[in-house]
Amino acid sequence: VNDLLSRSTRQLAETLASDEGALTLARMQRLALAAARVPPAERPDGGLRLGIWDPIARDDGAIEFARAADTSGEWRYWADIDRIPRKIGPRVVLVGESVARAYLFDPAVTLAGMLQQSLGVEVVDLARTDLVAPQLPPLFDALPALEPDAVVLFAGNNWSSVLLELEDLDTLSRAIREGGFTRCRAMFVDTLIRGRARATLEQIADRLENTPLVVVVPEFNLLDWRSEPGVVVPVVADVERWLALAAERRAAEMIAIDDGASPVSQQIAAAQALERNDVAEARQHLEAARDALCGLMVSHSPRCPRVVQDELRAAADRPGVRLVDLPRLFGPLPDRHLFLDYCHLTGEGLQRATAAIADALAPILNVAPGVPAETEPRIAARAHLLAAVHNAHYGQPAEIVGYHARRANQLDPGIRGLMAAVAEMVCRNVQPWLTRAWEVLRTEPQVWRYLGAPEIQRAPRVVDVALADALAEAADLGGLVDQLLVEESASIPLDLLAPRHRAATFREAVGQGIGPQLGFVRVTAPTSRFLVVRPVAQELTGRITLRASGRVSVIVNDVRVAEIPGQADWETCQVRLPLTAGRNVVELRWPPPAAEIEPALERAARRMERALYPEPLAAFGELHGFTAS
Amino acid sequence: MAGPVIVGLAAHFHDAACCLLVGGTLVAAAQEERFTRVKHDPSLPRNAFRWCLARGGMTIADIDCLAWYEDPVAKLDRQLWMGLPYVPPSGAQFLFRLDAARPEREIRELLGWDGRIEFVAHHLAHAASAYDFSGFPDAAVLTVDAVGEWTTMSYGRGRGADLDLFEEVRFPHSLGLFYSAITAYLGFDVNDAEYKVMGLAPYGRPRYVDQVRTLIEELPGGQFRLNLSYFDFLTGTRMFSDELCRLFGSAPRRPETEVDDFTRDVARSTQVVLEEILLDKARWLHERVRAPRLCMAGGVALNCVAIGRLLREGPFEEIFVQPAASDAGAALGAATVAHRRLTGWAPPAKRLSHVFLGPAYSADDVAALFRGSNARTRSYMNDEELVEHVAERLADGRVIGWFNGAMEFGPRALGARSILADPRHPGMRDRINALVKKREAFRPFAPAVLEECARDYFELGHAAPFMVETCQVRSSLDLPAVTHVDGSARPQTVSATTSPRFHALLRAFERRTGCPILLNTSFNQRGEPIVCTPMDALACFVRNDLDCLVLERTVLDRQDIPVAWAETLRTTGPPGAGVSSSVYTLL
Repeated sequence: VNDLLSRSTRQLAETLASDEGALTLARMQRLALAAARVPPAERPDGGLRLGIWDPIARDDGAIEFARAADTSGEWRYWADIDRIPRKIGPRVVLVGESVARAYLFDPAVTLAGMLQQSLGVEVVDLARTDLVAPQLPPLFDALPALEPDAVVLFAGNNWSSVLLELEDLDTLSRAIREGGFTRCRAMFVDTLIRGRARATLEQIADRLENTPLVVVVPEFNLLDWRSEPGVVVPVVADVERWLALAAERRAAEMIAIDDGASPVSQQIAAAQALERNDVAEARQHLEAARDALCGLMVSHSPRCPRVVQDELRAAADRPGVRLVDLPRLFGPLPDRHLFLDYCHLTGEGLQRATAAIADALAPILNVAPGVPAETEPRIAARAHLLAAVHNAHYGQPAEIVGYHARRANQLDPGIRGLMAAVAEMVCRNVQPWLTRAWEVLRTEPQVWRYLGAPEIQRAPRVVDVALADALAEAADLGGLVDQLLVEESASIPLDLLAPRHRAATFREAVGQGIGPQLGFVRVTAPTSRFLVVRPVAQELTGRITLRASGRVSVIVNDVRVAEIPGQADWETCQVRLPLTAGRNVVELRWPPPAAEIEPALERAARRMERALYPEPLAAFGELHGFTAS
Repeated sequence: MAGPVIVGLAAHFHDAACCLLVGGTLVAAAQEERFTRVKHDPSLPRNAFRWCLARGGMTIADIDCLAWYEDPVAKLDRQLWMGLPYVPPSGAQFLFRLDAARPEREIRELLGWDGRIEFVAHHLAHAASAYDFSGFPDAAVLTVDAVGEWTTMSYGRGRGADLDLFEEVRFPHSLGLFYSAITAYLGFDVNDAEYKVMGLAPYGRPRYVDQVRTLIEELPGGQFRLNLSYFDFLTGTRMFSDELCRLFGSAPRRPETEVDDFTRDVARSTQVVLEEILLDKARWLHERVRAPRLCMAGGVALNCVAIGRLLREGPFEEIFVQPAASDAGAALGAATVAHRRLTGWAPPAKRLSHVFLGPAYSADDVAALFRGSNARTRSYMNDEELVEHVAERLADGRVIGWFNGAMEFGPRALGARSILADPRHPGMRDRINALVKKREAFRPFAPAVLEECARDYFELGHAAPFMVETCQVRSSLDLPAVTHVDGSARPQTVSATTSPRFHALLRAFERRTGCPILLNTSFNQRGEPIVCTPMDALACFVRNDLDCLVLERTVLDRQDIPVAWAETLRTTGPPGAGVSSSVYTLL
């Protein structure tokens, strides 16, 4: 019997050794699991822990909550308070995401604090940065212990991140095969994001019973937020034509090809609508640009897509639920005056949101809310400085980065030293904590909360020159940036594929996809840019190893210096790079992506079937090496 | 160097690694964990791959062949067998992991390689990694690990260009899994902490040898059989069964709890039985092959206590253990086997003289680290001044982070990424374990000794540059920090040829103290891979209680670091969570 078993498994292994065989095995496993699917487990007992706070019984039997030591790694995501005391009067609980934390103002200013000041009623701050939908039901499970008179739910920006179930893999892989990434995206948004949002809201309603709820619908910085430059267009048929249309700004035809899965075409359409003063159409396209990346399985900043906004509005139809609809409150084209970045609010934005939420709570609490206080200029200045950093790290245009830097300086001219420190920190090649500037940052709690975060300490060093320039201009730092860049210019040979030369954002450093990282650079935009700083003018030899579907142009400081034929196999070419003293921009201009998309879609569908994220963006070329010596 | 350019790869289980073989010469090798900072990182070594090519001055377009350290079809065969009677098994541990195409697919998709791939059976890769780098013209070959495809132990012979494996022990009967199961039972992480059991063993008494022997039935020739009623690794959910607990009359030790006499005694008993079996099988292999030398690889070959005993009591005159004997090193063997297949010739038979095959950093790289800071560093123009300065600190009882030249390949720090201290200091071991490495108090440290003086202090009849064996200390000096409880040590002999700066430091320390020996342990803290870059070293230095950091010729004392550094890193551990677990997945 043993011999028979061994022979049989060997035969089977040989039969199934191919990619096709692996897929067959994966499908059989999914089938077996689907057939044996057991009903969902009973609601797990999450205990009474409220986020990072554990219940503590007082001598008089009352319950307080205290921060649990074993959650210390999470403390900085939540309100900076040690204890939530027993209830002594009317109490509102605020549950939400980073917007509800007043991100970039927190801990100096919080939305809960502003609400409390306006209402004159205790507001318990249970908002958490990075809160995702599955974390909400357990939080609401524990809410009765706080005995809230009302609850505010200000969430939805993080609900596009969906944990995929086994059956979703089948749905999405079929969608890719049938209609490519555009179909898959639509399916993801309409089925998964909407479905999960609805389920989350139902679970919250079940848990709240008779406690009044105020639902806040988040809004997006529609006018002033752009997708990262490395996110252009997904793998679609006729991508070459799409690019040609893009060059001529023929948005409608582009959208007909990308089916709403590119923010670029929608941005062009919105700009054209604005030129016609058609605000309604512009808003429609800007919303579509916001939603284009949801469900596309690429990295993007948080946002609340239309389907989630609709579900939040629908949740307000239930008895006892009131609605604060920020999209309606903020007008048709919200911009930098209300938003620090994609979704986080400025001082003005916070004030208007606070006033609206307070108005919704007032009849429940039977209070007359006061006008929310303006944020102090010193605090707002630091929020704008942080916004400049944050916008730069998402690849936003220099103009908007500069706006926030200037605003910071206008609000508090005393911030100049801090701006100089940030500029120095980003110009240095080393990790920020090694710089003298770091010591300045540590004296600023509001700034430290964000720039001192472990993620920032460990983040790859990227090309932060746009940020440094913006800060230098706003704070009149003279030639500091160029001086530092030259001081930090590396000795040859240079590895131009290092993020410090080629990536303006953290996502560019690791790739825009959310699947496994690659051992080479997949280029998802028509042009790759490299910053090369030299102390003196010199001609270096570039050694480029690449794959492309056609000719690749090499440009140095706007001058074409070489053409590389480009081919399907890796090839290594040498080009001369005449570099000036100081900053140089080397560009590789790529041909359109290869036209044949069926193999790419089949590969993607197979990845999806195995629970691996595919690469949805069209690749203009691939780089394995780029050195200069 | 003429000849094919071959990249060897190991990944998808633990300790992913990559090496570059050019014309049969090993040019570069590195483990992926050093770049990602995830201990034992099993993911495809994309960083190590890029670095190896850069080190060799190559691009991907220059490669002739990639060699993979495993036969995916044979592995799938074993996985399907493990899941019987379910075909295919669908438990969580199996889901989407029955995938013989994965290595090739990931090599194509993630590394971008579209050329030739050679798949090399796992134990053949281990065997070649030992024999091809031993420099022996004729040798017996023994590989021992947990499992590779079906094989858990193989016996062979290398003669000239030929390497032949003639017998194997097949899964599930495995010395590696036997030792790992006890490791798990004793509350340590498998696939990571087996060396803790080995280090703990001398503290115990062999009171449970009879019980441990019931776990393994010795069979004639090269074979043995596990008594599977005591093991549970076939399910993929845990390593040992309740029957094992009954056998020892005790529940498994809970991780991170106190280590008691029972734990020590079981560790000792397990080590004794492992050594007995290895000795027995080595004798049988010697009878079969009749060669005076032995080459070894596979994770069990990292059990340096067993290797020491094999040397002392076994039939072989000389043993070469491939210094990266676990899976990482199999990348080397995969590459040399591929070289044979491409050329019809074996790589040049040269003894591996060092493992400084990883990234190195220049004085400029180090200077750049401090350019924008308030740290007060001191740089030396030559090695002579540097080593005098460092030796003075060591003699004063300081603990030094020593970053010197190209990083080691394999698990041992051998003077390139090392923490060094005075071995004569009575409290040094406890201090480094507790405050620097932040690990268990029983863990021993190894000595590094001038090669030319080694015989004066250790029962060692040959150069031992890789710390792969233990021997007895026979020193006139008292060396409490590097002498284990049983009087043994795991010395590294340091040669002026392969480690000139480290050798000079030992010599300078000897001039000051009369002791040509230093405590040498890996430059990392618990749960963290050994440091790779100057930045990693600096962060590790700041986080831990090291007194002084030496980055090439730049020296930084603890009192000279800005307060902000320590306060920044105080609240953050090293990045990366590691991949240790309580069970081998075997998948």
